[in-house]
Amino acid sequence: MGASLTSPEINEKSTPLLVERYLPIPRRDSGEFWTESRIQHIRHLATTGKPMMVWDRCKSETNRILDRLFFCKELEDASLGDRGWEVPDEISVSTSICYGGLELSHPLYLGDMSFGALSGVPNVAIARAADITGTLAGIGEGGLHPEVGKCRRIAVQWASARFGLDLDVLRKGMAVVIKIGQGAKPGIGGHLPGVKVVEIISQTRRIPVGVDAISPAPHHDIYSIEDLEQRILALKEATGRPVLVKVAATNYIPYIASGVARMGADGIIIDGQGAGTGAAPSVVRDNVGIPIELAVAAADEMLRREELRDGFTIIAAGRVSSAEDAAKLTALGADVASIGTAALIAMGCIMIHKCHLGFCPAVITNKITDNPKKVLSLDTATRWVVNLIGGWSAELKLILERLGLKSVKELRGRRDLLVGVGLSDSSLRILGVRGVSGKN
Amino acid sequence: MSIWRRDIVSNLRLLAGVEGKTAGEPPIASMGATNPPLIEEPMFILDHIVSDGAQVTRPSIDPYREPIETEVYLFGGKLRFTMPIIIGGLTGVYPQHIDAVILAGFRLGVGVHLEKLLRLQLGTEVRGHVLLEVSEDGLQSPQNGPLVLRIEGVGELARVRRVLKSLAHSTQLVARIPSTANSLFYQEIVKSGFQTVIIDEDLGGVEPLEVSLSEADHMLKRLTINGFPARYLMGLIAASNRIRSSSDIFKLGGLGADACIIREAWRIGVDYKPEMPAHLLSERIENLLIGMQREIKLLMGAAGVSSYQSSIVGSRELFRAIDLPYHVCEKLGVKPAGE
Amino acid sequence: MGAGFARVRLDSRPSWRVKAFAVSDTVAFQIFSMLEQKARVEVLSQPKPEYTSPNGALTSYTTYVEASYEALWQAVQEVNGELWSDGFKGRIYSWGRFVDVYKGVGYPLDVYNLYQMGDRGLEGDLWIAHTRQPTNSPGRLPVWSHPFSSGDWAIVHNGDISSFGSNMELLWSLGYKSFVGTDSEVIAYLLDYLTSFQHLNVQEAVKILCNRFNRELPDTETVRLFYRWRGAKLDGPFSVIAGFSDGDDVYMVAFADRFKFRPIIVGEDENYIYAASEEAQIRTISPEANVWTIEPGDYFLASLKRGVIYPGRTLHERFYILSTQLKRSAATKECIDASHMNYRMLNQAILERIKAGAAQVDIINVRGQRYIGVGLDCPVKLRIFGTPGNCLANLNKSLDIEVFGNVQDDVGDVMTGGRLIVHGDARDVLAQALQGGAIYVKGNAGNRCGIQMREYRDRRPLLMIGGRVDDYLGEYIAGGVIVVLGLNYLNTDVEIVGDCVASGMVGGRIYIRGRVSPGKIGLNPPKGDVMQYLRGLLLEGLLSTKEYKAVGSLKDFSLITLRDILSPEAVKRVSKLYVNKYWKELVVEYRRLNDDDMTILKPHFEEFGKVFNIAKEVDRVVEEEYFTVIYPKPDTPTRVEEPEEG
Repeated sequence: MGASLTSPEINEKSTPLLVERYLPIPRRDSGEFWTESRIQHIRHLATTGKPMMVWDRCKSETNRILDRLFFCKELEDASLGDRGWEVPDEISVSTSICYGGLELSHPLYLGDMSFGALSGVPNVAIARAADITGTLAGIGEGGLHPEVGKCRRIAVQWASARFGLDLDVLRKGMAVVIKIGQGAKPGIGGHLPGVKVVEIISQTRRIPVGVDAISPAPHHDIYSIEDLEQRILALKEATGRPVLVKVAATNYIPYIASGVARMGADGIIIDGQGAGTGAAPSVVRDNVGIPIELAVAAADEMLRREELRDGFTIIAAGRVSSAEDAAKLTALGADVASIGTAALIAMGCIMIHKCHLGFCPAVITNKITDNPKKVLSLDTATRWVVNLIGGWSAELKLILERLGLKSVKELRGRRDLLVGVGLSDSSLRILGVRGVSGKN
Repeated sequence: MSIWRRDIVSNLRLLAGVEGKTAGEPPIASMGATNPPLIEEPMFILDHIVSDGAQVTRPSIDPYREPIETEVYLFGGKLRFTMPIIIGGLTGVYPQHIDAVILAGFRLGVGVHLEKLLRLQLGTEVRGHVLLEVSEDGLQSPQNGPLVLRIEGVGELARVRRVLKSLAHSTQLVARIPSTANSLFYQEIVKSGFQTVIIDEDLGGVEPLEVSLSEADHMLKRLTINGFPARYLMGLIAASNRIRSSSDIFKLGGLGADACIIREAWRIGVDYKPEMPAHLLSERIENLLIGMQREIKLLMGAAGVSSYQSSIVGSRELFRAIDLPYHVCEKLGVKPAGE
Repeated sequence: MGAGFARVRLDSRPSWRVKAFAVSDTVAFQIFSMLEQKARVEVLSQPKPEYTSPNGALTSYTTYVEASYEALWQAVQEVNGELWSDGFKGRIYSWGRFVDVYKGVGYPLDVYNLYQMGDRGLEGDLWIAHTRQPTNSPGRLPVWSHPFSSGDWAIVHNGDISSFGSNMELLWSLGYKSFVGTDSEVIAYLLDYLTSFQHLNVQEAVKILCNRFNRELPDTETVRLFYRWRGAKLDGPFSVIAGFSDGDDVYMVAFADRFKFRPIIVGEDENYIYAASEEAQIRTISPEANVWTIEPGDYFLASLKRGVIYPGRTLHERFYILSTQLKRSAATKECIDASHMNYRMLNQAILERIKAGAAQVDIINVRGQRYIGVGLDCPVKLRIFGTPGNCLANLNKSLDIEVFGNVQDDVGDVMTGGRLIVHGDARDVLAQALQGGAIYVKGNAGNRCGIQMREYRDRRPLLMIGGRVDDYLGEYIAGGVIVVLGLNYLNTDVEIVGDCVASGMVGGRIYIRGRVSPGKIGLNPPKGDVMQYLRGLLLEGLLSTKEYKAVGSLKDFSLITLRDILSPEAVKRVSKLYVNKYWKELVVEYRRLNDDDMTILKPHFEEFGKVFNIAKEVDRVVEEEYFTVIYPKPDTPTRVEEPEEG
């Protein structure tokens, strides 16, 4: 099974070793957002499909602005002692949402990881998991992997290089994503060296084997908001599908969001600083862009003020690590949370930050060859992602239940449910959340 | 905690070619960032500042295929540096290495700051690129190239002004002062005829470099020379041992520095050792500078900017502060992220 | 949504016409009495309400005052500074003797009606009109609409200036106290300040703002001027159209950014001079006008009394065709008349003809409709008469499109098959990511033609241009063939390509008739930086004075040139400035076309000659002329070691 997936022309030369187990989590010697307990939590969800906690205990380990935002209810629960952690047997809250004509049974988007950044099996696992769970998977820029192309709940990406795109491919998904930027490297292009353009990459990108694949930094047909409108309308004209625009969270995100809404897009995917990447110049990854929580709050605020919020979808991406993260982003104004890195962790990523070297111990981002020695088990990987979504959704329901809400839709924009602890006055103002000083 | 975090040191050494095989190339990383202030502990105001990524309404620029200008001019356009970097901190460097450092700087069109006149056997042409520190007496003899006068307190300025007025020859004059936002300092400096100011945190001062630099930039814009805003006739340089990377230089640029003097950063980057061969030192300095220039171009391109001195220097609108209190944001003139 | 107009008129009255938006009559009177108090300004007439915005929020008032420009400017700063910090109570938005501005919220026609511009029979020597989608500012109030005006300048701007922060810093330091907060207004202020207070002439001022790339180090005086005014240089995407009068003459200025990110086109006919962001707009007024584009980073200047002063192209090419003449004669009777159709209606009409079995569909009176043919997958012939809008033939698979006229931007993007023939010029970003089929353009083409073209299996795209092109020809090209013939420039010394040809090329081939300067191929470091480095090597004795002088005497050079002059050691050292991990060695040949070339090119040359009826000329060029042939050196992988992906 695995071999046929890495190469559509079944190669019988060797049977690769199937990877079906998690690796031990290595010890860390420097700062990391994806701490051991976050990885353990995701592994619990991915293996059991069951919730592990109501309130995210991992947030005390890191210092994101989101980590210092609490649902007031949690603080009340904490004062109640252990009773706050009781999980009721029956929960009747809804996590389904609908946007741009798309129904999602969970407010999750599986974010835009390309074939090339991932090594094939993970791409297929994510797409199949989206079909099984009724969510949506963005396929990224590497063209359409033949097995991914068999899945229904995918969003085909139109990026600056237009790899592997034609009219038929664009019409294959349920939506089209115009990728303008990504959180890990706003304003930076990509370059896959010719030696890595092997047969299967060549087929999906429709470029010859051995020729470098370059993604220009900007879209050279989109230099203005009017140009973007032109592209949105052209893609709608060509496909009849809803169009989402993916951007990085940067200085002008509220204006960009309102521009995107005004230009007729069905939604925006905002990718925050700190989001995952297969490879990015460190200097850009570490110094460009703003965190998703500020971006979502600012964009939502502007869209409301401009009366553009209704019927427009905000998908929040970048370091979304738990149902509570997603719930807080929803309370700040998002409709859907995007999970990328969390899905990789569910498939066995141990966060050693070596994707760009082509050697991945978890065989998720390893170098793509036509004859791999070791591949991730597709069935296992798919199950892990499906379980992650199930467990995640269950935790989200628990949170909604604690908040006394009937559905995730009721949570959107409920900043009043949040409180900031030890945040600067400027952050609190952007978030539109009241604050208390000090922590613990 | 050391200001020289492991990733910072490693990046510098990768650039210089001490580590890895891609000398002069901006290092590549994968998966999510762990940078301060949200993951790693912030140490300086700089750690709270981020730069813009151009998108939708502004195209970003690819520095590998399209031109991006990093050059900066000083002294009314008479001195051109190819990048906003000046090599300083040569005090601890062995005398036999000084020439190698200066020549490497000269080849790449990068300035060098010499804190005292050492055994300098270089011709007048190379001297033109060296910011040479002199005493008040040393001012009297005409020199090719800029002369730097160290001024540690406001009290010294009246005397300095008298000395400068008495000078018989015209010189490119630079004042090196502590990290201060004292307006008297800047008024006197403008009146005395200095054409460039180095704000040097290593000379002490009450304000962090970020604050004094930004306030100095704004003060010099309000002061005038013959009715014209003084800042546009003068150069402003930031110096500190703790300027760690091209991104620090870039952000200080946004707060008003035409260029930054780096000290410990380059010594750490090239893994400076007294016994190292001069040609190796020279090569590593070249790699480091070219690499840092490329990183600056990446940041500029990402922000949709193609001209450093006109679009980055003092251009606070391109930057945002993450979780800094309003009163600090106001001093810097930088908006909080999301605004 | 905002819109507005400006008119410049020489025989206006000599007193200043001051216009302000205010929330009420009381505020309006307050504004004008403040004006009087603040400076030596004499108000000659009472403020008169002129127009109220649809939501009643702001009314425009006009009055006339007498003052020196300096005093008036100072007073405007003071008044606006106070009013703006006091909420949106009011603002002076125009003060000029010859310039008059009308702006509001809504579509241009709304604003035209609100100001009763038709009824008033307004006349001007120069008119500017603008409509906008707000990007970096809210746009609910008319203060954010274009044109922006300062003194006797009025400008409209398309783009988003990335140097905005720097420009604002300069303006603050010069005493500007109040801004509405859009990047566009700074352009008006900068131009006015430089011309009114610094007494630079229009060309000097515009050159500073454009900040064009220099291939040579500029002279000392230019460096000094540009250094002093570094805060006035503009960066990022912009195209600007401005009107100005000094009382003696009326000037029209149009300029574009150094990367030519935004479109701008100028034109003239017997009676008028035009500038616009799309050709279709000029054609609406003047179907027969000569039109041409401005070079990247350059400007266009014309005046009422002198006509075109500087055309915006060092080579003043005015290649154009009279599309309307072709239209009358050639179209079939059953053609679609696109006069009153939007793009959806037009594509629908085409689809209906095809469904009805038509093998050829003719469309006349096309004027700016975008996306023509997008989404239609059938091998029919589409003949377009007029000026089709942007995104023509995007994603085209099988249509055979022939355009009798010029085409605009982003034509043939991700075309995978079929054919496109253009009997006129093409503009920017032609044939981006072209993956199959052929595009023939008889005239010139703009910036970034054939970028990231690529081939796959049996698909090998071809782009052939009869005229010349601007910068970044074939940037990122990975496959396919580009040919630039420059047929209009035979036997001239005109270079038929701009800068940065084949920058980032990784595959495919580019043929350019004539010799291309080496420094124009790929991205080269600034000449000054290379000379500086060589100077260093000279001082260290690694280079002889003779070698140094030999390089210095060259007008233009590349790493390939340096290899012929310098020692291998010196070349190795200086390579650092040229080579990076993405750098790919290119082969550049200057020669006649050979049999290998012709196996691919011959059928296309024949077809090109045939469709444009210039077979003889093409044959002669193919036979006799030398070509610069560029392709990546085989078997030289780039140094890049990591997948820069996702």
